[in-house]
Amino acid sequence: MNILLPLFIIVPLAAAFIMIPAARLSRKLPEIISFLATLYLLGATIALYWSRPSNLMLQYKFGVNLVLDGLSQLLLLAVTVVAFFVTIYSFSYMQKYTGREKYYTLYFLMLAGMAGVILTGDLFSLFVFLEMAAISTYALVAFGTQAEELEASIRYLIIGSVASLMILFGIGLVYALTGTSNLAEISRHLPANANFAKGFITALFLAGFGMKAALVPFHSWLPDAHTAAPAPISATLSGVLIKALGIYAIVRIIYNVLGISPQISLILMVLGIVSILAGVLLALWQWDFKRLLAYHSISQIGYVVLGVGLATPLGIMGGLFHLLNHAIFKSLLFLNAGAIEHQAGTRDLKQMGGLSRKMPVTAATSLIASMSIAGVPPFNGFWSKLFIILACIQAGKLWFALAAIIGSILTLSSFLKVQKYAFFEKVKQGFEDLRDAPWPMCAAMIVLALLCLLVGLLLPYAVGIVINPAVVALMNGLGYSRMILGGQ
Amino acid sequence: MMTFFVAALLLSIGLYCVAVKRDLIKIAIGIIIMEYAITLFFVASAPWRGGEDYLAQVAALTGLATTIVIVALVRRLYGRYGTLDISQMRRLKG
Repeated sequence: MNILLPLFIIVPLAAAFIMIPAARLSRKLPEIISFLATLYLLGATIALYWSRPSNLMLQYKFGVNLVLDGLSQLLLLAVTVVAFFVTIYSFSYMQKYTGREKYYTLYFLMLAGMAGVILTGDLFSLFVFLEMAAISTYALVAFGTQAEELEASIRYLIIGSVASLMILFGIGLVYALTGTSNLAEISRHLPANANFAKGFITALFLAGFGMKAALVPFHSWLPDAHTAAPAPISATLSGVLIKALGIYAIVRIIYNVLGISPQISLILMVLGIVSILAGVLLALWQWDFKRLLAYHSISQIGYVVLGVGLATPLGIMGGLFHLLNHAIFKSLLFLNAGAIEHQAGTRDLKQMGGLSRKMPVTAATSLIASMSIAGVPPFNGFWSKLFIILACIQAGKLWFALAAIIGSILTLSSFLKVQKYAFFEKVKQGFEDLRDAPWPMCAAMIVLALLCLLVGLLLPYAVGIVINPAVVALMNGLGYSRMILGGQ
Repeated sequence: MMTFFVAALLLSIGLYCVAVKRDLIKIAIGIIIMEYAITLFFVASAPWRGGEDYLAQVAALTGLATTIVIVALVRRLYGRYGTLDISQMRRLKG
């Protein structure tokens, strides 16, 4: 089992570096390599769950170390599932672009960066992996090199690098205060009387990772980047990247390193509720399908932050469960939008219509995903939203619960609009001989839709095997350091 | 102590530059100044930990990678729009 852990970073890195030489040998080779590599990653993650290791820490030279606990395992599962299906989808979708081997190279660099962020036990390595993932996404957003894509990418890049520098400054302060960058050792070495410095560091991390996660005052890059990027990249960005780089990092640092306090908990909850309402209100009057989905990402990330910010076991469970569910249904929705753009050549909802008769697979899977995101039982999104709302009521925060319910209703109305304009009504002119997407795209969408249903139906197993270990890891709080280093 | 004030000053100059300037080259320079400020902070705080420090080098190297991407993107953008004024790049709305 010990050898499996570094391979999560080494395999995508190796795949990235052999991609371009391999493309010289054969044009098909990059696709075969990426299929095998993502299949391996998915298999290895499932093997990790199969063997149920206790919490694991591996120490290497130069202070590099890897840590595996329930939370990192949950994120790893989300990343590898989305990466596998997005890769299959890319085989057809990316046919219209040139330089596909460069796309796969950047894609695997991004995967390696995300796996590194999730698995590392060192604050500074976390920053290096975060930059690796972020820089490859700047390039991936601009992959089409049209004016729109370049513009979205430069906006994302400017906000992203300011965020990275804030995080780096925070890390520098932590390092100067404690003399270590090991996550487990930091909480032991933090001086007890350094409350001002601790507050300043928390603020820097909240702003920096908040920009990466696109929480509401820092969200302006997300709609542009998600709209302009190729559909598989939008699916990965929205499905896992903002969670691995933003939510995971901030949650790990606040809970397990700096320690959560009622004030920080309140800040997180307010950020969550503002994101829920602002995101969904902005989404209501969008007509660009991908842009609408992008605003819903902001709103759904708000639910995750609200749940996790409650700092009660039920709230954390709801938040983390919603994180997993959002990874599945939002990447599916972006793949649907990509399939429509690929076949019909438009993202404008007003120009679509009657697509359910012409593209049955896309229509059916997007209906399932829409019901999931809107919280219709028995799909997975219903359960996680229910947990979050119940947790709000349990904690006595009735106003937050009410706002979360309002957000959910508005989400439902927004997706009714999508279904009505895109898939129902009469077939528009010019779409008479439209056909459904090629089979790799359909296969990826069908399996993701089945996952939406299965996670909802097999709720006790999903929560028991996947979510609860992650909740335990977070509720452990500052005990993280004891778990890893042993001792008092 | 002097070095910390210089680092803080550089950081504010960089942030001002990114927030206020409209020229893409100036924004890029602002980001680079902020990177330098933080590298300086790492180097200046090294004596507290006994002088030995490899993190500052890594920080500087990571900064370089961002700089390369910025310059490449700015060059492409100039090719598409024929201007470096960010307020004139308004294809995306909302």
